[in-house]
Amino acid sequence: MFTEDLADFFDTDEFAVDATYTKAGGGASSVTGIRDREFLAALMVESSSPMFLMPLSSLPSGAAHGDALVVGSDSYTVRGIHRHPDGFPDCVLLKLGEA
Amino acid sequence: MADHVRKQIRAAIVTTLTGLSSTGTRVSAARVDDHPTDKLPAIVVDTSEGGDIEAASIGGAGRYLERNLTVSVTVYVKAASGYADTVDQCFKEIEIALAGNQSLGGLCKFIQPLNEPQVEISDDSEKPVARARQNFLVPYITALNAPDVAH
Repeated sequence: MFTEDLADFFDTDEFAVDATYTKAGGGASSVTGIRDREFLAALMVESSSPMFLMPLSSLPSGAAHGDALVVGSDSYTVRGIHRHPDGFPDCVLLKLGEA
Repeated sequence: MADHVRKQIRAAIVTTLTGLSSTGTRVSAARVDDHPTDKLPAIVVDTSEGGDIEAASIGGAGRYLERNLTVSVTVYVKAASGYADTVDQCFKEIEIALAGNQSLGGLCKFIQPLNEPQVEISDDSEKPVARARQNFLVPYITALNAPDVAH
């Protein structure tokens, strides 16, 4: 069976960054992933659509909407947890909102 | 020649709504470009909904027309929380301001809300965005051959 090696993909010497994932009930974990902030015009308001892609194996057990993710100086609330997004079967894509 | 009375009404409403507590000077007419995040909440005044026209007198080119213009006032809000309250606060200020300037300096007969604000919410962005629209009936009268003069 083919096992994907994600270490090279989530390399902090490349595009990945370290972050802290904290469940709403408490318990912080260090995670590594790739943050994206694509421009978005939501209902004619300039916005961004922050996302965080990380290995599914790094997602803390019991992760849920309302958890917190801190990336550098930016604090987010997890608004969506999309496991196995297209093209990244062993990953999870977090939809984020500003905390 | 002056502008069409419809344009004069649009401009007068922008002026009336400029300086409200919640939206300040962030008021524009018939805007098509996106709103910067740091310029919210904001108001856009538009007359693209149109309205019907009825004959108010008989005669030739100088006969009068009663025009029932619909003016839409749209509020844009972006906030992590409390956006519904902000929308309601904005429309409270808008309704009070328009009620206090019922003829827009002689341009129209009165201004009256036609509906409660219709609110759309988007949570695709880093903070929820709300866009709320309320229509107002603004009847005015012009002569057939002089749409730039209100009667």
